[in-house]
Formats: sequence, C-alpha cells, structure tokens
Amino acid sequence: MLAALITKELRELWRDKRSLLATFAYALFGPLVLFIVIKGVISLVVEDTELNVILVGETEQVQYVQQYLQYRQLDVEYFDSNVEQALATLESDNAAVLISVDTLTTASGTEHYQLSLYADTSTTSGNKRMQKAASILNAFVNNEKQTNLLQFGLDPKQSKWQLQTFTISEQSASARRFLDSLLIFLLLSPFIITLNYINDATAGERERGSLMPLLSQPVPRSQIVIGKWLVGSALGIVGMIVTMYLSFSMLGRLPVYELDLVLHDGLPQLVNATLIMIPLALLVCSVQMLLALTAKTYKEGQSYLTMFSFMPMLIVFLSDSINQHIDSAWLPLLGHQQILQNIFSNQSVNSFDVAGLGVICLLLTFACLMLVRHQLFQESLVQSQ
Amino acid sequence: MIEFKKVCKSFADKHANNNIEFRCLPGTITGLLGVNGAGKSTALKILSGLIKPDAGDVHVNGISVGEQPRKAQAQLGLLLTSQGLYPHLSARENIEFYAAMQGVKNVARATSEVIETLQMQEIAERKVAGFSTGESMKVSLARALVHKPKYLVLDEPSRGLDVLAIAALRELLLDLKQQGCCILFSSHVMQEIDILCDQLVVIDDGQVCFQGNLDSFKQEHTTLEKSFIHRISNYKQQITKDRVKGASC
Repeated sequence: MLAALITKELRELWRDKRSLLATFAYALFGPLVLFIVIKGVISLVVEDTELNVILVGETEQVQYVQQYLQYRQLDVEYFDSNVEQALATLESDNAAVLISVDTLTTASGTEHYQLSLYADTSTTSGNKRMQKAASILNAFVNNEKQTNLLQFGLDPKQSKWQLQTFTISEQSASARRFLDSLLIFLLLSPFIITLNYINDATAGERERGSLMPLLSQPVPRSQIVIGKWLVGSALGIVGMIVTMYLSFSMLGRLPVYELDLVLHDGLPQLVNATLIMIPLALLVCSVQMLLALTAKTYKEGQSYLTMFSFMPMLIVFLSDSINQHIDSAWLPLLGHQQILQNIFSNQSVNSFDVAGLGVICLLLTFACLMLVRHQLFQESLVQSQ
Repeated sequence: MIEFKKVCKSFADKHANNNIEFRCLPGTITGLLGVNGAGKSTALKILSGLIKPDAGDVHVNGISVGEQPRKAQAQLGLLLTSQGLYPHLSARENIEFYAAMQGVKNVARATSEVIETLQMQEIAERKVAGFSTGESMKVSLARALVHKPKYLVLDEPSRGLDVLAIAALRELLLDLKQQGCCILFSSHVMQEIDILCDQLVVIDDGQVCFQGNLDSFKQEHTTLEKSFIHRISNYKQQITKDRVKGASC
C-alpha cells in the first residue's frame, strides 16, 4: 500500500508539468540567479578599485605628481588645458578623478603647490574613488614633506609618535553579507522546493475532494502520512543537494576573493553541509504538511507555506541578537546557520552540536508527523466537502 | 448485512443523526431518502468510517465500524462523491490505485475486469482531467467496485449522468443485486428509487421517519413523489406539535 501511495504521488508530480517546474525551478535557476547577483556585487567592488586620473596644471610640479601616480600603478592622462575643459572629460569617464596642480605664492614670496581633487561622489563607487584618490594624494604630500625634512638634515623617523593599525574583524562587511546571503539561499532550498508538492498533496487533495475517498479506504492513516512525507522529503533533499552543488560549482568560477572571502567549498565541506541539511529538510517537510493540512483550499495552504518560508531569512537576520541571549547551537535553522558558516569558513565544527541538532530535528519531525496523523482523523477534514 | 444501531451524531447544537436504526439485507437494494440536510450524508460518512458517532454503532457483515474501521472499510465499496479523482492520472491508474489501497492481489487484472464490466475501454487510458461528469462518475463507480465488495454504498450515483448512463447504472445495480450484493444508496430521483429499491429508509430532521417496502410507503398515493411529500410534511407537523407540547409542559 505504501509503495502504491508513493507511486501515485510521484506519477501525479511527474505528469503535472507546472508543479514539476515550480518544484525544481529554485534548484535549477536559483544558483544561476545567485551567480548573476554575486558577479554583479564583485564587479561593483572591482570597479571601485579602478581609478583613472586626469591630471591638469601648468606648473612643472605636475610631472612629480604624474610620476608618483604612475608608480602607484594608476592610469594617468595629462591634459594641457584648464580645469573647466578637463571637467567635461571627467563626465565622460566614470572611473576617473581630476587632479589639478597649481602653484601659489605667499606674500613673503614662498611658493606652495596645491593639489585639487575633483570627483563625482553621487554614487557609492564615486565616493570610494574620491576617498582612494585622496588617500594616495595624502601619501604623496607626506612623502614630499619627509623628503623636505631629509633635505634639511632631519630624519623623519625620529619622531616619538608612530601610528600602527590592527584589523580585529575576521571578515570584511561585504564578505559577511555575502556569506549570509549564501546561507539564506541554501537554508531556503528545502522550504521552497517542497512547498508546491506538499501543498498539492494536502490542501490540494482536500480542495479537490480526493482526500475523503482516500481516507475511507482500509489504509492506516500513518501510511498515508508517511507516503506523502517520504516523497516530499526526497524532493527536498534532492533539490537541496542540487541547489548546493550547482551554487558552489558556479561560485567557483567567480573571484569571490575580491569580497575578502575565502570560501572553503571542497567536497568534504559540501558532504558535511549536506549531512547537516538532511534532518532540516525532513523537519521542514513535516511542518509544511502540518500547516497545509489546516488549510481548506490550495490557495490558503500556499499562503501559510509562503509565510513559513520567510523563517530562514528572519533567522539569519536576527541570529546575532538571538545568539547574544541564548545558546542556539541546537536550535533548527539557527544551529544550521552557525554550523554551515563554520564549515564554509573552515572553522572548527563541534560534532556534539551537529549530533544534538540532528537529533532535535528528527524528534521534532516525528512530533509533527504524529500531529499530521492526528489531523487526518479530524472530522472537519471531511465535513467541509 | 449493514446495520445501523441507534446512531447519534451532533454538530454544534444540530442533531444530524438522532437514534438512527435500520438494516440493509444482502441481495437487496435499499434507498435512503430525505430532503437536503436531513442527515443522509452524515449517516453514510459514519458507515464509511470517516466520522465517529457520538453514540451507537454501525455493523457491516457483523464487523463494528467503530471498533474495527479498517476491517469494515475493506467490506465496503464506496461512492461518496463523483469528484475526488486524481486529474493527472488516467482512469485506469485511478482505479488501479484504489485497488491497491483495498489490498487487491492482482491489481491489473481486477482493474481490467471492472473496466470491461462498466464498458470503459474507450476512456480507460485517458487522463481524468477533462472528463465529463458522467465519465468521472463511471471512474468513481469502477473505483468502488474494483475489489468486488459485497456491500455497496452510493451517494446520489446518478447525479450528472445522461439517460443512457442512468439506464446502464440501473442495469449494473440490478445485476449486482442478483449476485447477492447489499446496496445502500441515497438519491433524490424518485423514479430511480421506484424502479430499483426493495426497501426504503426515509430520514428527516436526523431521524428515521419510515422504514419498509415501497408498497407500504406509497399507501393510497399514486406516485412515490406524492407519498414522500405527504409523509415528510406530516412528519414535520408531528415534530412541531411534539416540540410545542414539550415546551408547554
């Protein structure tokens, strides 16, 4: 009977092309969308480091500046014109800043050289370009000051004050954001992939009136629950594996190091991640069954399951504040997020936490399935038909 | 034998079934009559083990539906709704699935037999999505008959069927009766009841208000319909009187 139930569920899913597409769309097209988004983010970051310099000025000091900028491996173009004309050129080059070198003479007759920096800061990338150019010019000015001190016989390194900087963050903000997005994408996969099938197999069957004849057959309700759950879980697990492996094989083609991230996505890491995600897929499928069975129509079920699908996003966004208050290593989704983060960052993973999380997921799955079975005895399921 | 034993069932403050008691014998066709909301469908759902009665029990072939629901369900062929087919499966696959659910050993053979009996060869391999009401009803009927049940329960089986299909259904039911099958079916079509049924059970306001053969039901009235309307209105008047009496006491 269980085999007949599973065969029927699979046949229905296979024949309904719309459902089939909805089931596997996330696994097949999701990684592609992720690839495009991450590629866009990387090119934005890479574009930020691109800096072309348009140099203007009539003073002979211009060549010193030009030499220094070229030494810093910047693309420098010298314009023998005034600032206004050069600014027109600046508008046509998105990756450029304008540096003008002028000579100022004080009342005492001493000559000073002034560097003026012009850049379009209306965009984030423009703002960063301005900061980068300013920092390079600062270095140039400091360098020039030190050279002057040396000319006067003074050693600039004799100063008692020195500045040293240390970075205490493990990852850059962009790397953290990228990893969070990747984890949301992976954690979402069992939620999205099984949504359509579970909704159709529970709320859909109830709406179509096929649940009543099924329940009037001499089949234990537990077999009906297990049959549907097994098919849903298998879809969730297969879809999640496809999503994960496709995502990492596509991300492997991108220079993610530009985001200051070293992603450890070798086969051992992927296998570990899969093993950790399987209990989650089982749990998600059982909770979806429980939610969808409370709905009288397919649409109602879809609303409940869509709202349930926001859970991974909510958990990842709130994880920092939740982790401050409780030890969440054994909590589904929160624990999964922490363990996956450690796996992909090549940090140590506590095997006790992994086992505990798996057991908690399986216990919750069992509890949900018992509730689903209990729901199948509810008279409201057949009274509404 | 199908036997309802003082079955009571309430939903909120409404008595859907109030002390329902009747018997359907093997080799007979029993018609279950009643206006909409009288409690017929509730009685059939209790018989099929879908809902539990508040009191009383139903026995199928001596098996208690309350105590051994699955054993009792295995004795029954149920057609409770013309819907409830799987639209992406073919008619044959729908029937095969229910044969497997009933624990039929040779599913393919049993399915082919019922398809032949109901002359469904033309539609057997087609997907159920897009079937007419009559075609869907045929598949539902085949689903109910595939395990060759000795007890057949049909809820308005002729609903949506054309004249030819109704005639074929009548022939089939009479044939099953000849084979010793016990058939209980509800209908609003008096002509159908008149032709097919050996005995009648009339339910109104959740209670059995008549149980007996057709001749005793008709009495002085020429048609079943007139007799039904007369009896129901008399019964309603009696109930109202009893209620008023009860209230004044």
